[in-house]
Amino acid sequence: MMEKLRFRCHFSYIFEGLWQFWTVIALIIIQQADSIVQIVRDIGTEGFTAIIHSGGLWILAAVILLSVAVFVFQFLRWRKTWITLEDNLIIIERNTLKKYKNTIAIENISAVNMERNLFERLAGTYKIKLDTGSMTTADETDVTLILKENKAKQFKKTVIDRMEELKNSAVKLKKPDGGRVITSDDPEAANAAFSMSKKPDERQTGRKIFRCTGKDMFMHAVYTLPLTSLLIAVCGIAAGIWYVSRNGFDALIENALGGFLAALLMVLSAIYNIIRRFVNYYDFAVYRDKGDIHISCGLIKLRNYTIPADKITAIKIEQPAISRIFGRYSAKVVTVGIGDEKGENSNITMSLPIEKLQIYLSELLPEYNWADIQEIKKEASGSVYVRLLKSVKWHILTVAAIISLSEMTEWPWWITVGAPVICDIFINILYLLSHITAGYKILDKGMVISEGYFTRTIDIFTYEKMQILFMNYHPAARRLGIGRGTIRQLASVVTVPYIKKEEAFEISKRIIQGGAK
Amino acid sequence: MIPEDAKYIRLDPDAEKCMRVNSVIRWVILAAAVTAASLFFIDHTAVKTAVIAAVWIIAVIYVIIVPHMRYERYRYYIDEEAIKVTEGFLWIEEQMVPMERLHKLSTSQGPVERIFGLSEICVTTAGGDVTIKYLKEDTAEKISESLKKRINLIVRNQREN
Repeated sequence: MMEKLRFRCHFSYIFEGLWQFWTVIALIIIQQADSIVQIVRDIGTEGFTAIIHSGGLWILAAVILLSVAVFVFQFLRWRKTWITLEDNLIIIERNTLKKYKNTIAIENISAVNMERNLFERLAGTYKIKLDTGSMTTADETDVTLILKENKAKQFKKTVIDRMEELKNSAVKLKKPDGGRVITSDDPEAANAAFSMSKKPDERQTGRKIFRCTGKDMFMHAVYTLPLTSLLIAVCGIAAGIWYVSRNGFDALIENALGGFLAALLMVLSAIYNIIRRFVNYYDFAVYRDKGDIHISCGLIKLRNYTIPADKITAIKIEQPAISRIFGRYSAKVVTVGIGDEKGENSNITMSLPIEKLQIYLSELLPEYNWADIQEIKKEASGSVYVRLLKSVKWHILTVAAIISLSEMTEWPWWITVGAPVICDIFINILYLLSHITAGYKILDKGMVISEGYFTRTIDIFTYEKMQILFMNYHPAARRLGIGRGTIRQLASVVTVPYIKKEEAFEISKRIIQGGAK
Repeated sequence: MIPEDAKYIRLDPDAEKCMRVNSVIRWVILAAAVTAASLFFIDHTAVKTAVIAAVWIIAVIYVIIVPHMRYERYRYYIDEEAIKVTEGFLWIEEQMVPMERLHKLSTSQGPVERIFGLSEICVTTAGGDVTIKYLKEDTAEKISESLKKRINLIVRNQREN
């Protein structure tokens, strides 16, 4: 029986809860800066009496009292919240006005993540986030704790060790092509290796640690840049250069300052996107240890994720537009616990060529070696006609929009006709891109499905993880004997492209069997 | 395994009446809202009349035709391995959920369903819900009991394994 541990979060938990309140106050102060400056001037000229009469001091007193009240509230919350670790349970009890007791079975934990923002670095603490494989809380973190660094690491190690014990035996992974079995002998050394290892293929205690260089991270940021941001930024710069070349820079500032600033913002936004990705993925490293995948990344906010491989619902391989042009792929895992909050990402690789991606996946997730993402079958023939028929409604809407705009507005014809026509063309381009990208493969252990418009997403998942199959038959598709639908899993929904009815039946058979025929 | 030629079960005739009453309620509210909006916001008399007439004509046609077609199309099938529901009007939707994935079951009865003695069963998995609607109360009770036993058996087998 495991010794019972009972403890509270670190005291800095109170201030982490307070910063949002103080941020709002700071924003209000900034907004009211003029009034505050006037109050200070009035103190100088008329003394405090005038301030009292104007009500300024009462406001200040109200803000101070509110701050104290919020501090006291957070303090009591911290004081009356206990975390208990006993046997196979983590229990969080809070004894404030609203009492609650959250009991989590360790075996149900799907992710144990550690984060550290700037404040936590100063305070010497870590934030630990625990997520369970629950659909109800799939979009939020189940438990968030703030602990001192050594306590946080000890807590995480205890939980992971306990999770491993509950799986009954050390997991022997399938041998990748190289014939090497990865086992965990010395977690302490592995963690040390993980933090100190500099070379991507350095091996310590049998682990292969994949690290990314600065160039890898920068290129990943470029390959995954949203196409719309880039196009808008390029168009903005081109429009600006054209205007300046015709009319001069002074005319731009005088007559088109708004447009110039908008274009500048778009360029800065595109650059910011690259920098943000670089910062988020800084020093990205990943390795597999027994049944867990460990990911570490981040510059300002350090993140450290531990994902049990058996809690992974699916693998998602993404190819944004720029990646498709350069033949690059990046892989993510779909699991409850990652991606709940802003800034969290579940990438296990950066943007890689297909051959290198396959090496990574065979090392990190050999359970999915059966999935071949090349030569994916196109969606059923006849789907083009169905899509063409579906686009008719957009043509009708376009004509209606042209008539309405022409009748009801005084706009020039190139707006009343051009805008609806451009929208219609764009929608039809999306239909075409969707058809080109859509594809599927029905394999013995699971499925591979490709979908998307500009960004291609390839989902790999086993029949065991599939929960519900929904098939939808459009009237025209029904005549052709095809339909499309969705497969629902925990934490993920995948769109099935147009497939034949017999294939849908085959998929449902395999889902019921939970595997091969 | 659900065979391709499985004999699906049709709904009780009261289900069609219930669907029709539900349609009437929905369309009366929608048509009334569109009528009110047209009276307030459209100045052109001919356009206003056309919009109001159109929405009420569509409502009448929908209420007469659609519930019958939906009733004719609605089918469900339950065996030891899976539940399958087929429904729809123009767009046909098929939902399949294996028994092994079920972990919650609930029954409910709306006010209109109560008048006709009908209820619905909702089965929940980790990936979402599937609902079998417009079942006679005693049928829903029987299905619910057998599904509960099945879920308990599955959980027990999983624990033993």
